Amino acid sequence: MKIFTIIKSKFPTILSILILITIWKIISEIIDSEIIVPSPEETFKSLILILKSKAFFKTVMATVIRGWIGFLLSCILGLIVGMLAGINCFLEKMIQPLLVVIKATPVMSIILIALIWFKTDIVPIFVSFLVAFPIICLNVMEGIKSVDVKIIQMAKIYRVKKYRIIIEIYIPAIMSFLVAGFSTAMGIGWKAVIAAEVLSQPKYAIGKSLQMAKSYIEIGDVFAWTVVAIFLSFIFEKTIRIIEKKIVRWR
Amino acid sequence: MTFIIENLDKKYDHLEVFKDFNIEITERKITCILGPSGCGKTTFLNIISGVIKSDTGFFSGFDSKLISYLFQEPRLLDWKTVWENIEFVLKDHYSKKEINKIICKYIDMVGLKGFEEYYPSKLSGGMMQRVSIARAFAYPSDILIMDEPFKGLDLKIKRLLMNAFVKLWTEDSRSVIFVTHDIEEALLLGDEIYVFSEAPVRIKKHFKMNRSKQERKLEDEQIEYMKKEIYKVLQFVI
Repeated sequence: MKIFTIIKSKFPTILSILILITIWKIISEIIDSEIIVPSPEETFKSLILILKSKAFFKTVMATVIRGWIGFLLSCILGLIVGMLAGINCFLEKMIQPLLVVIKATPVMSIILIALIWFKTDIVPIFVSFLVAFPIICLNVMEGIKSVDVKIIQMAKIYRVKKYRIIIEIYIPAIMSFLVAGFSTAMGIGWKAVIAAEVLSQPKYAIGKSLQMAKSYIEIGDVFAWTVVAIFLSFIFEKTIRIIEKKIVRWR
Repeated sequence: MTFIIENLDKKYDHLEVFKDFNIEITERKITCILGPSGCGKTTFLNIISGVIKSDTGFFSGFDSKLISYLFQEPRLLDWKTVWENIEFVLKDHYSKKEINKIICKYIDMVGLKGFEEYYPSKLSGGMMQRVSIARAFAYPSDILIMDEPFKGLDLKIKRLLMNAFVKLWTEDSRSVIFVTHDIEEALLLGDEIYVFSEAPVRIKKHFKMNRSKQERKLEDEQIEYMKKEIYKVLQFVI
């Protein structure tokens, strides 16, 4: 019974994926060239081969770790800068133009500049950091502003200590905005990391593997690595949703 | 002992809300303040509670006194349960053991037993206001300030909250300053009633209630008389 309900609730998702694969299959049949659009079966075969290869785990982990380091750095710095700017009007006005500039800079420009400045391993980390930072920073600022002045007034009248006002009012108020920021920043950051890897070519990297597959005209592999990247992004998104449910359970 | 405020001045741009204003508030009594809307009642409460500063003024009896405040809105933290919302204001004053005892007592007194683990989003407006009443009384304050906490609630809930308030107050009779619009509310709950004029605020009328709250009825001659008097003053003011 329980399984039946799960299948029923997931049915639209499953149907959507099936339709997508069918369209892909039809297109590959019409074009009829494995070099331009490999069929889903061919991609699946390539995927199995990639999964079986020795370097697979190392490659994936290297990319994930790079992405996470950049993401973590942007979280820490975004939280600190965002909180300060949220509280201080002067700082907010100072930081705004910087955030606008970073947000408006094409990811490709950031990657190319980073290529000149840093070692190959650092480039994806730097790019993921720079892409995620303004998103998290702006979300934290918005979170701070969402705190009702009346609530702070209440806490002050009841003489609640300052550090407790920060921990028990500001941080929880930021949390829901922060988690929303995480989700967006993670999605964009993940794509940017792989793009950076394509150009910077670190030893182990999903981006590099994509580039290699393209160079050897193994389009099945390009599609298979793309599937891997999508799947990982999906897992990150799910993890964030679980964290969100735990943090904002009061809603 | 009384709380004394003398020569209070407060100006907003060109509007003089208080000019050379004096008032005495008796300790351990409920002092009600009536007045036309926008006259400066909330400003008065905000000055006493330290939310805003007066331009000048002499305050006696307020030093280092703890204040709890019942606002027009419940002002609860959405991410904390009923229990945690009360705990939030007590943490700096009591041990964990004492806190548990106090919260249990006050939650019970406002009739919210069983709702301790509820988040505010799951409570009705009246229930939230009851939590804020419990919070105000659980806090070890010397003065309780009330800014129209029963405003906008339907009659039944209002009665319920007023009863809860009287029950709690009778137990420890702390000093209460109660701003309201509702003349009957003031006549039933107040020990002393001040009627304020429009800005710059003056005390237009001052009543002392003789009878105990339990014996008071709106039909009483004396109460009826006071009601008419207050109406007259307020009408004149408005």
